[in-house]
Amino acid sequence: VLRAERSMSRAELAELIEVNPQTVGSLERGDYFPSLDLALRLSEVFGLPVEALFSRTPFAPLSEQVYRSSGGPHA
Amino acid sequence: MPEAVRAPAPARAVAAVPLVALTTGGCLAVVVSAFLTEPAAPVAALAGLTGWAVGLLLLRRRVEHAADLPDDQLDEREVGVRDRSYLHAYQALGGALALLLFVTVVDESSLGDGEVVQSWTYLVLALLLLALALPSVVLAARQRRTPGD
Repeated sequence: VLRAERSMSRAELAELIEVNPQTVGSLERGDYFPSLDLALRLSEVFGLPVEALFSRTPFAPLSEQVYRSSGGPHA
Repeated sequence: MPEAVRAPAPARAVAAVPLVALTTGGCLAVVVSAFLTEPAAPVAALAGLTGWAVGLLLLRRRVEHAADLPDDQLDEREVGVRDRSYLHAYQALGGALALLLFVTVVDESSLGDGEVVQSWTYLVLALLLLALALPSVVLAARQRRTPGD
């Protein structure tokens, strides 16, 4: 989501953090957990703290976050 | 950034599954030929050897990026995948060697009477072929393409 927000391709992000584009794909799918060094490189690229990018528990879906911030569905 | 990391090998586009099947199937045919008698044994062994050679040649092209580059030319995930693949390949090879020893004992015992295995040469050859191919087979099986790469 962060990469898409910044209109960045996988290859562009991969180049910035010096990995293979396939590794970016693995990170996005949650197939691969990065080292601290790679996590810090990613946080540097996005200008966000590491805990905003990675969590030991799955992040809530974006729709849920939108509902929560708007006070729930207005049906 | 190293050029090798930026540009994955184009040969990776070749699907791994048929190549893995061809290589391991070739080894299996050589194993089977050890239990066959003339004239089927050399025919099966030759067919297996050909399949193994073609399969391994193409597999090597597919995995050469991860298999041949030094660690500093790969990223941490690729190094991890390669290390785990090689570890599991050599563990599997240990299992194959144990199986060969088991067959040896059975063949020499009263159960086999020395007549189960027709040619030990083929059986040892199959183990050698497996030893050469297994690291590439496991590495190729572990690699996956990311849609949109």
